[in-house]
Amino acid sequence: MAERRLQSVAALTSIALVCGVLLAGTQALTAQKVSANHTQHAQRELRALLGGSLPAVPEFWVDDVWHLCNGSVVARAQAAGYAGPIELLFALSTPGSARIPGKLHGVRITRHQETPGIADFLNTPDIGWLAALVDTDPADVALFDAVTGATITSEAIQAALVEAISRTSHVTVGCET
Amino acid sequence: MSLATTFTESAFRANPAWSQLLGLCPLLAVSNSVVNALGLALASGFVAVGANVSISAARRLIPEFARLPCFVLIIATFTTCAVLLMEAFAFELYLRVSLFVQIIVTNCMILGRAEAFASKHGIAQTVSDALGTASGFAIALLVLGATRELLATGGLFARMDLLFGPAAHSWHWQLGATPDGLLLAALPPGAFLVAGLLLACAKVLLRRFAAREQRVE
Repeated sequence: MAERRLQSVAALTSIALVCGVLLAGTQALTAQKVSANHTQHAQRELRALLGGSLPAVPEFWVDDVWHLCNGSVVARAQAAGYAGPIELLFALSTPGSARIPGKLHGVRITRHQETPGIADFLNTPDIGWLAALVDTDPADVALFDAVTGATITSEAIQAALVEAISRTSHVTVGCET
Repeated sequence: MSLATTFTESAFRANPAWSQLLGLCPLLAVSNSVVNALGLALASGFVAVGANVSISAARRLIPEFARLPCFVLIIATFTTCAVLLMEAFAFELYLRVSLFVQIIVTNCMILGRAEAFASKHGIAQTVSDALGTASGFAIALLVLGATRELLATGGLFARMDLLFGPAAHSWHWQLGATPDGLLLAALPPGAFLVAGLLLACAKVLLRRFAAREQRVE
């Protein structure tokens, strides 16, 4: 019995070692390309969110909030979804003072691992639930009904939005006012 | 058995999809277009060959009573590698089908071949068995993917650029002027309906072949 146990441990350990090396190798080989892909994807979503081109001003993220100095604020947020972290971007218009957030412009999900099918609405920011959030008062975000079958996902996104919206009101750096 | 016989045996007669009914979850979920189906077929093939060859090479080291954890460890490693490679080199496709690539780990088609074949045969035999299994699975995925894409959009080979680069954009072939078709075919219930009908066709054909073979004998 003891010999059996030793044999299994030895076999599993040696296989795990070889597997670990293989994984570390693949990870090292792909890491740069993977993170470049994600950055590119996020930039594409940002461009779509702001309708066309990114402003000429250099990126200026403070506390994951970026004042574009043209009445818009963009923020990044992260939510703990059903199957893993959900990363999202959204834009707010700021009429008058930056301290009173105006309307929500749009929400785009840049990264998620939610169940395909049920959470497909995350991939279509221009129709469905995400589109319904556009032009709402930021104060009403929390009142939105969750998507049937994806309650955890929708509520996580709502909570992340509420939290990030509160962050936008106290970050005022980046613009001359 | 010769290598060629092993290959055809596992690709057609013992096909994972239509004769063993294994790996149906990803088969149904991802087969809504040719490009998705091909992406999953390639990833599954990579895992099947890589994992089964490693298992065959290490089969004398793996103790009988601890074989399942060892197999799963090896299969999981190759699956993670497949996901990373896809994330790096086919990012758009990764965004669409990554979850189903991740669950290749639990695809009983691969674990089944590891247990039934790779752990008992040499590397050469295992390579042809794994290639046969992977090809059989790929054929099933592609037939189902093509049928569903044709029914749902009236076209074929849309967005092949996700896998083959911008040049493949022009491969898209459209029956009518506008994409128009039976939306049901692209949705999950459509997967069950189309797969069921195709499976029935495959059964009839296989029975015909078997009957003819008997008559010849």
